[in-house]
Order: sequence, then C-alpha cells, then structure tokens
Amino acid sequence: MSDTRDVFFDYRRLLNALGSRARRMGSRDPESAAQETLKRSFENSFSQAAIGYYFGDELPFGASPPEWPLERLMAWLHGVLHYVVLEEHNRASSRHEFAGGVEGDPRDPAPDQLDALIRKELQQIVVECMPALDADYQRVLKMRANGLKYGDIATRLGVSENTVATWVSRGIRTLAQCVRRRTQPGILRRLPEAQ
Amino acid sequence: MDPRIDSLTHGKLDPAAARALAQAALHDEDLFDTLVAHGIAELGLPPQKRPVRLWIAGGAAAAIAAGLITFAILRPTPPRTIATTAQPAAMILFAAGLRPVPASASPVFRSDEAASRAPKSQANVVSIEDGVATINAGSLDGIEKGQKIGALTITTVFRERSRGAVAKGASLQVGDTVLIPNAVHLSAVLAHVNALAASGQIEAAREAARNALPTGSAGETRQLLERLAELDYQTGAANLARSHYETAVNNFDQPPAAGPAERASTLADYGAITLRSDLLNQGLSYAPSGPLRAQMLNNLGAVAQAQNDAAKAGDYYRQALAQNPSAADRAVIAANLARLSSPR
Repeated sequence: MSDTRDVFFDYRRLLNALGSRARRMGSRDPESAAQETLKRSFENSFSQAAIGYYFGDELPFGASPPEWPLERLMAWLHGVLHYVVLEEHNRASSRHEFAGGVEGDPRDPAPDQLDALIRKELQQIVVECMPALDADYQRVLKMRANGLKYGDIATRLGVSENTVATWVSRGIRTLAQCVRRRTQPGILRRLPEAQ
Repeated sequence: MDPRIDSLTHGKLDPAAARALAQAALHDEDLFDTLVAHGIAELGLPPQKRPVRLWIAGGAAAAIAAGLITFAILRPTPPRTIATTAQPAAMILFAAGLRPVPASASPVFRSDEAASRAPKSQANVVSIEDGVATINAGSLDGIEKGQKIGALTITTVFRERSRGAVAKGASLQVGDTVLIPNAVHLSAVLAHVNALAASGQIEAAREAARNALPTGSAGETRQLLERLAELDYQTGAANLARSHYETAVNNFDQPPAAGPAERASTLADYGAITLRSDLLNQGLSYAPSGPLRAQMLNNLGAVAQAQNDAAKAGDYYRQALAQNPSAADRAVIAANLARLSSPR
C-alpha cells in the first residue's frame, strides 16, 4: 500500500486533473475515481510507461520516449476515468435497487479486458461525434486513424497537404468539443458490457 | 489552439515538447480535451481489417476485399486511388472508373431540375411548317444536329425541343409520335445518370440506369450496365456491382461490340474490386501501353502483395513505373513499391 501511496504522491498533479474531470463527469467521489484510474492505468505496462514519461515530476536522464504517444495516453486516461465513474454510478444504482441484498459490483476486468472496454468507449465517442463533423473532416480523420500520412491523404483526395492538415485540425477541434460535452454531468452512458 | 497541437497533428512534436504539452494539459481542461480528442481520432475509429487475413478466407476473399475498398470509394470527392486496406502498410489500388463523375463530365448542361427529368425514348410532333417539324425532345434527350429521328433530319436543337426537315414523301402530322433511336436514347440516359451522380443523387442515378436497361439490347445497354456497376459499388452494393460487371464483360461481344478501351477500363475496375488477377491480366491485353496499363500493373502488384508474394508484387510495380504513368500515379506506385521493403 505504501507503494500505491508513493505513486499517488508522485502523480498528485495528474490526480488533481483527473479528479477535476471526474467531478465534471458527475462523480460523487472524484478523488477516489482519479486514484482508481491511475491504479488501473499502472496495471497496463504501456500506459504505465507513458504516464511515467509524460507526467512524472522529473524525467530520468536519458529516459527514452514511451511506446504510446501522448494523445494515445490521454485518450486512454479519459476512457479509464469514464469507465471508473460509470462503475461508481452503477454501484450506486445497484445499491439503490438491491438495498439490503447482494451488492452488485461489476466484476473488475482484467487489464486486457479493460483495454477492450476502453476502446469500445472511445469508439462509442466516435460513433456519436463523427456525424457532427463535416464529411471532409471525417474522411481525413479516418485516414489518419488508419495510419496514413498527410502526403498519402493529400494524394488520395487530390488536395494539398496544408488542406489535409487544416481538416485534421478542425476535425480534432470539433471532436474535442464533443468530448467536453460528454464529460458533462448527466450524460454518462451505460457501462459497456465486458467482452 | 495551442500551436504545439498543430505540431502534434503533423507528427512533428518531439517527445520533450510532448512532455511539456502533457504537463500544460494538467492545468488546461481545453488542452486536455483536445489531446483526448486526438487520441480518440486515432484509437476510437474501428480498425480496418487486414487484407492478408481476408485473403486467407479463400472464396469469400474477393467479396470481403471489395467491401474494404468501398470505404475509400464512398468519398464524395473524386478519388484517384483506392486502398485495399487502411493499414499503414496498405498498398494502394487504382480504380478511376469507380470514382464519382464530376459535373463537368456531363456533356449537356443539366440544372438540378433538368437532372431530375429522365430522357425520353420517344417524342411528339408539336408543329409542322414549310416541311420543318418541331418535336418535344431536345438535347436533354440526346438529340443532336444531323441525327435522323424517324422521318426527320434534325437541323436545330434546343434543350427541350428540336426542329428537323421532314423527309420527302413522309406523312407526318402534329401529334404523331417519333421514336428516338436506342443508341441516342441510351446515350442520353447515360448523361442523365452521370448528371444525377455528379449532383450526389446516387440512388436516383442507379434507378435511372436500372429503368433504362430494358430499353435496349444487351450490347446497347452494356455501357449503362458498367456505369450502374460503378454506382452500385459507390453505394456499397458490392455484390450487385460484381454481378453487373460480370454481365457487362459477358456482353463485350454483343453488337455494338466493346472497343479495346471499354474492355480495358471495365476489366480494370472489375479486377480491382474483386482483386482478381485473371481479370486484370485480361485487361492488360487491351491496354498495350499508357496510364491505364500502369494502373492495372500496379493493381496486379497489390494483389500479389496481398498474397504475400513480394517478389512478384515488386516486379509488377516496377513494370507499372516503366509505363510512364502520370505524376500522381507514379507517386502512388512508388509508395507501394517502397512499402514492400518497409512494411510499416
């Protein structure tokens, strides 16, 4: 437990930020939600390495960049936090429905299972947010998501790389607004079922 | 927006700068959301399936592979190329015939309203004066100056009407019906279909094409069928597209027989959506040189690559490059070739 407390101390600024987001998502115990998110993220070696690199107070000399780029880590953290807050809501409603009975906490998913759930959650965001995007933005974001470089996209669409960059940038901005809307209290979605 | 986001978008943000950005995001919710959105855009989209795995599926491979291509083909802007898969290492196929027709490709100006009117297969005489008859069909119906429409030799053409000299000895009266020759009518239908497709009315275009198919012989309607196949494909009806392409290919020799250019382009597209090398090789025999040959060779390379035959793929790509392709095509083919040696 002391190890966990050390981790919480080392990443207190990240915990604060996550706690703030958890509050925005409607968590009744944002501090615990943030700690749970960090704990679960440390169970995944990729996110652990990325958190250490991007959010550690001090970067060890000569530390090599993690396998996960920053944006991937951020999406992961958002997904895990969202999942944790949903769990909290589900627990609350289960208690309400089965007062005095067997408590219906969802099973704690294994790290790879959690990964699948997070991906599902992220895909759900995309499903909900993509239709709001201009067709050109959707197209370039899909191509980017599939690993195409700007030059490849520009060649395929017959536009300049600058145009592609502009569309990606605007598409991301719109997606970000959608992410923000989804983290407002009252719009939490049903907890995805474990696969 | 933080200028570092632009760098991140371009993949030009070095790890140290990314770390600084991450730290900044801890105090800036907008920035945090933007970074999350970036990640979601890259992670949250359902991954495309790998072509190799699909190829192993055997008989279903062509159907599934064609489904993969649909993703790129559905783009409203004219795609020059299509991808067999969206993986970073994916090879790129050419299928120019499957792209939407730009508005400029329609030979007759058709306003939105006009595009909704299907060409007529017959017209009525509305007036006769001094041996010149006026009929209620015009350029929208495929009528052109000099054509013979029944007993008329067309001398003047408007959008909705035409005038023509009545043949000597012909007994033509106001209200009589004149049949527009199948070739003229089907050509007009094709233009109409293209106009509808160019304005984004793909389903209406498909319906117009389908409705006109019974009006001509197998050979006369073949080009319309090929166009319908393209539209089927663009709307994701891959099975219908394959079926229509197959019928069109079977009707190549029906009069009027298809010329080499039509055969080559149809086989190129049919081969591309089915990833069938036999069709592409057949297409090559009708395109001894030029950009289309380069595209088909590239596609053969992609098929070989999907079958994990890198040597054969490389050979096809190099042959494609030797065909003097356009600059844009050359870039794509060269990229395919480069991917062979660096799969990611």
